[in-house]
Amino acid sequence: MSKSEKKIVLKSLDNEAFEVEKAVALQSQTIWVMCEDKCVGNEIPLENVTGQILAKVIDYCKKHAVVDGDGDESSEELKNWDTEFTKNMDQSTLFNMILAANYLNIKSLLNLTCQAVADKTKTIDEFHTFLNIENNFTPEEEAQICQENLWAFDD
Amino acid sequence: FRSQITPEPRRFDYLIAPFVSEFISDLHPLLLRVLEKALASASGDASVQFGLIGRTLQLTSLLIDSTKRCFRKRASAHNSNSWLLPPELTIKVFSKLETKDLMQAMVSCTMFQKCAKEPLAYSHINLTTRIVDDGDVRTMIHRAGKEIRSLELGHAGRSDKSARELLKGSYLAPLSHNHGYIGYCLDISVSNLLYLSMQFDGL
Repeated sequence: MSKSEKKIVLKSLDNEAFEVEKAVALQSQTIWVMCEDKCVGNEIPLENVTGQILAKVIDYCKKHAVVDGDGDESSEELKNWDTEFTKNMDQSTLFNMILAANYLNIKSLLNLTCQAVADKTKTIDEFHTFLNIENNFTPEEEAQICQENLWAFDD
Repeated sequence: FRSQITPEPRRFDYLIAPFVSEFISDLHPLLLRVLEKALASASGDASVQFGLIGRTLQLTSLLIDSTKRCFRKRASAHNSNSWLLPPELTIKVFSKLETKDLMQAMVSCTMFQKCAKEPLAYSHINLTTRIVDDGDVRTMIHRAGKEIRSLELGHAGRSDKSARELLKGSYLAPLSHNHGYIGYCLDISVSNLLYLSMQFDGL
């Protein structure tokens, strides 16, 4: 295989181009199918992902491609890397990562980012603050839900 | 101990109370003048005067109700604008929550309540960090239905109910009826267990 065949260019929504190894990009089932169908050339336009998010997705894929290929990093190290990777992401970045992982169909990244959101929201206040959600229940509706699930609310 | 529990004071009420009272106090001098005038022009009949006051109180509470409704509507609009994820991904996030946190999600807003009721959100039930009874366990398993993939119950170092007690035979009956396989699995796995963790990969 020539060098050009091993590389692939991913183009973001805002026209940022990323040249990556094919093995890295093929972790995305969506890209895999596109390549398989030969419906694209060496440049793949990704209309739902911004450059900022795509860069992070590629970081993730690079890390995981290396490990799968060489096996020189323990799964423990990889797990730590994953934790660090999502640790300081803000709400909007995490959500956009979830959307990108879903669109690109990268199952492990989707699981990782969904888990990260779940880990950051443990209390009702965190649902309101971190997730930027406002309570729109009447007091009666809210009391009824608490009543139906009392075990989860008795502190 | 459960009957004494009242829900947490609501953020929402804290949020709108100042607005409502400000609104009322702006209107207050006007209302007072109108009411005094009406009372003065009413006959000396006490029942007519009381009727007038009663109607005023009724109108005021209607005013407060509709203000609250407006605020709830505004909150709903805010939520649907600011929440980026479609329902299936919201449910996916919820499926990663510990089950007690899923209940917190449920009382966060109406949109979350809808997603937190979906069977998929209950794929992995973990009831080890709270004191639960067999009824709670049964409710959670039923919400999961055929989407259940794992179940964790009881706590090794704790003296409250063991996993065995939480899954007594009689409570397995409805499960066996609805989802024969789960009922069968639970039945053979819970004998003499303090802590139970099981997977349902075969479903």
